[in-house]
Amino acid sequence: MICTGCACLCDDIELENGKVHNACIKGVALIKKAQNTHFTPVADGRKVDGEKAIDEAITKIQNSENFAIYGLDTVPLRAQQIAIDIAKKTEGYIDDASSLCMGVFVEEILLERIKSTTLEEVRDRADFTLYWGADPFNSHPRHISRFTYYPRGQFRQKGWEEDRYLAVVDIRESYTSKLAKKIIMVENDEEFIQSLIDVANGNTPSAYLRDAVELITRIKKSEFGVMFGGLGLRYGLSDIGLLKNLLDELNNLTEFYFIPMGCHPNMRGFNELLFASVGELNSYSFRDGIRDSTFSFSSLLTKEQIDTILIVGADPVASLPFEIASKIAKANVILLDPCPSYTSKIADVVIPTSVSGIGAGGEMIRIDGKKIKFEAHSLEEITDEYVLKRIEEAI
Amino acid sequence: MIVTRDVFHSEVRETDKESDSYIELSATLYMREEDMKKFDLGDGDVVEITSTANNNSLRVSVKNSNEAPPGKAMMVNSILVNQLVSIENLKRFKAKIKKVGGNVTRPEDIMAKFERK
Amino acid sequence: MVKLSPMNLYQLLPKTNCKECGEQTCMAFAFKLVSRERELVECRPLMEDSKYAQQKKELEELLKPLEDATETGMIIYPERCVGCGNCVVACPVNVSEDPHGCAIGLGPKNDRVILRIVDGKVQAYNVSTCRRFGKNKILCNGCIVTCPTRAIEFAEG
Repeated sequence: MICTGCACLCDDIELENGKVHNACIKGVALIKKAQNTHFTPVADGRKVDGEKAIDEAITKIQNSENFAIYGLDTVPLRAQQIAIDIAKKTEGYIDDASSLCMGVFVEEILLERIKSTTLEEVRDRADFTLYWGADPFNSHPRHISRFTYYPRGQFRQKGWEEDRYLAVVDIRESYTSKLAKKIIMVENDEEFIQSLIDVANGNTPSAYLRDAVELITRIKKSEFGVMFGGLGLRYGLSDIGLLKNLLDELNNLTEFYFIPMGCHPNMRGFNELLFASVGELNSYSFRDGIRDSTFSFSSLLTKEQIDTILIVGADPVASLPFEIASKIAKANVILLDPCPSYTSKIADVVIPTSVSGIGAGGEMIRIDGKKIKFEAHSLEEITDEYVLKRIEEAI
Repeated sequence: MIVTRDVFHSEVRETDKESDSYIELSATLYMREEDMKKFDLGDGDVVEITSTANNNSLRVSVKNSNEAPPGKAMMVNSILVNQLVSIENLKRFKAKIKKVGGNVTRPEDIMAKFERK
Repeated sequence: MVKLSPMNLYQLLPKTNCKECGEQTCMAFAFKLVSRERELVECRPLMEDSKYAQQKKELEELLKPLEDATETGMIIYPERCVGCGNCVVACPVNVSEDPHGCAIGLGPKNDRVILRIVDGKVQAYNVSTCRRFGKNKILCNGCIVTCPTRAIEFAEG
């Protein structure tokens, strides 16, 4: 069975006598929740059956003049594609969490301006791994043991002590950094990037001299290096070009790759599908036929530009800054989600759907671009794909 | 202040977003021991944090942690800390803290402030 | 939290070296408490003299995890474990017994492994194949140094 608890998409999960084998606590919580949650459909404050709730959602979407779809990062590709089709038919807006997190990195990768690789390649070849502004021990608990530091790989047979080097760049000492051979605490990410570029070019940097030299020396000695960029790096960077310059420099020293540390299991899937449809990753307006930062979900909310929102597998009431989140309830909200959330408290229509990987099969694209296929484990609840298809056919 | 993730928090978020342990882990301000001393704070003290980004305030309980960044404080990403962040930077912001005592802010206090149509 | 170690136990013992237990010193007794060759009740002053009541309570508390320790002295603190699998993948016995599973980062593919994750928490099996088992043990630390939350400890350190 597969676990869709985070972007690792662990596919070695086994269920036996009610016990979950091999998953981390985050995955176990998701899998057990899927088995135990009782969540009832709601339409305008009344408990209704699922089909009624879908009918109500359709009516609201049909009556909408400014309609937006948000979320989608936890559902399989087919459900995402139908959501894109709905946005197209309604000339609505569509966006996912990537506009606030890994979208900038994924875009560079899809446009082939940054060299990326797969997690299996990292496991088999990497002898230098750098987590920058990421704490996978907390965000992707099995990332370190499955792919980067502890596993043996085809060309890394001797184990982590001899064969691998792990470095962490962060603003603090995290649990991940405690495992690393080198931690560099930085206050200003761009300054440290510049220092690394300077040292790679044989110049003396204005800051972080010793750390930059040590890291560059390590990279020169390595055969296959990879940098994982997390939210700390994303928000520490005002200019993606600086990161690109660094990666270009590092590629002059050795084979060097970049993989984003996205959290959502199928965020990259949504980015790739929208990219294939319209050439853009997120924040897209089908009415205007363009992507613009003013069409991101948070900008649309700020400007109170939408009257109806379809939210799929996300809890923006909890995850967006209050000033923006507090405007969600001013619109008609239709929520598709496996379990109660802060968004379900304010939603006008709630349609409980199954957890991907447990009640819904399909495909997802892991954050490194690898397509992962999975079967449904049980078929008790309705799937996001079913609900979205009903909506798409009706409008 | 910086915003971070914690796997134990993620676990209870999946299980029950209204459980006491979810609220406890969300309404905690992690600081290093030396920084707590500077503010004359002890474990369990309740402080009011006011964000300079938007003037919103929260009451949270202080806890000593070596994983907190030196000279800064840290909170786990949740509906609580999202009171204080701005869209320009979801990970870092400036805030004032003041020892106040009393109870920590709960998610329902925030939900009560939501604008309705 | 105080770590279970001979030194920390010694600090709480009477430190009188009265030899009533048969050991020459309280320090020697502390070492044997950890290796489980001695029981706390064998310290008669501690048991009988009320002035040691608080220390007795703390010692009992400190020694409690040893009751569930494996024969190798491995103590698992499930409340600290996140199921990351670092220990499962780094354990040299898991690697050699399960080259197509644990060795390459996956969950175990057979029953010969020592460590596995069940319901998100590490559990120990086949303890007799651990490198810390028996007379000719070596103090392997593969599962300890890979755990940043100290969910696994050995009584002997």
